Amino acid sequence: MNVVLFVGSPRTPSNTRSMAAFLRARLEERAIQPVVLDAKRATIEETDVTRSVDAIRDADVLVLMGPVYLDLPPHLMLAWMHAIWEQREALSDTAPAVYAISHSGYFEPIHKALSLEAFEHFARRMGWTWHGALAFGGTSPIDGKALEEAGPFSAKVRPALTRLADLIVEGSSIPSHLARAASRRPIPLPKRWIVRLMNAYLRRAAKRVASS
Amino acid sequence: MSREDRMRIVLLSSLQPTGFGAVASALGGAAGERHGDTVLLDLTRAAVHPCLACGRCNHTGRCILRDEMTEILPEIASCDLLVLATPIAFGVHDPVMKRAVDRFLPLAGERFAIRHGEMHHAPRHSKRFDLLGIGRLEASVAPEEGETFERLIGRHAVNLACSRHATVLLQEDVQVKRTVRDGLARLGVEP
Repeated sequence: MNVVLFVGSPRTPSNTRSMAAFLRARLEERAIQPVVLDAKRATIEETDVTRSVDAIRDADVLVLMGPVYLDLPPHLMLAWMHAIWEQREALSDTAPAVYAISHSGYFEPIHKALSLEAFEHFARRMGWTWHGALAFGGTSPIDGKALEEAGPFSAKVRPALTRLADLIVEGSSIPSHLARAASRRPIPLPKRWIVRLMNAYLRRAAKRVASS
Repeated sequence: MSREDRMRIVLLSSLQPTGFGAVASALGGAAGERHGDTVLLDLTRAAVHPCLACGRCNHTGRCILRDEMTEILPEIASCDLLVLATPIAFGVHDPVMKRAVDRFLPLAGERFAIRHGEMHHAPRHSKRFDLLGIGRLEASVAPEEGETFERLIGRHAVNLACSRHATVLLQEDVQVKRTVRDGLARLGVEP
């Protein structure tokens, strides 16, 4: 089975990359060696598009992974989707199953909803099969660490990605109960408390930025 | 109406030049130049770097990049009406518009707050502007993409703490003037 993971984050360190590494490891445990497409910069270049088209041409599964900036995937990811759309004739004999993963620091699912809609529109326009999406919130404190080291902030992410690896192997869509479980807030506290915790995290981050 | 009372409009457009010109004209400005209190930016020709997601603006309110977007952010923060005109791609902005929208991050304050019952960054600017989304929907595209775009402008209005918002869809260039005026009318603005 050929699986392609597209990592759509312009940031370093990147939580998307942490999630991709975790999913890759779970797939490798299932004897799948995924191709990871990761521009590792803020722009998509022609070589990225050529490599992507070559990888997708052989793909059974495509997993789109990215953060959410202002309710949508970042420019990098939309530019990549647009570039792939432009190459649709070259990919006309390909129909991978498409899964998507969105995440953001905001814990409410509504912040990720339009990002997932954009992924679904993309898959349908390409004529590919939409197999559903996972949205994770409150992920900022993961801060690019390996998910295994991110404690409670990756507690919803790890089991969901492990289950996603199984679903990919089975060729199944993401069931709604899994999507709901993944989107629950990582720490079951009232919103006001979470806001206080996040603001404390931001104060620490500000000190780190000031000293760098 | 005195100059002081005139509405300050910022138009960001990723429509092709003819579409940009038509929208700019409908808004009462001359395409490609600053006209009175209307600031027009043709993103298809502007030098706008993609956001690096470095996070510094979150703490300082300033972007480390220096380009036309850096210059227009203060205009947005103090405008009465922000107009985003874009071809719709996969139900949302095209990549050219998104490159500019990603750069809005310095408008958001450092701290989180609860607004509309949701967690958001508190806005850094005190002025509340209206938002008009203009999306060009190709005839071959599923109408659901237009519905997604309408929801997107609604979400932007919440994120940017806008006073009011409206969305209009352009089906053909010949309808631009009427469509834009319809959008302005929904915001109670007389063109």
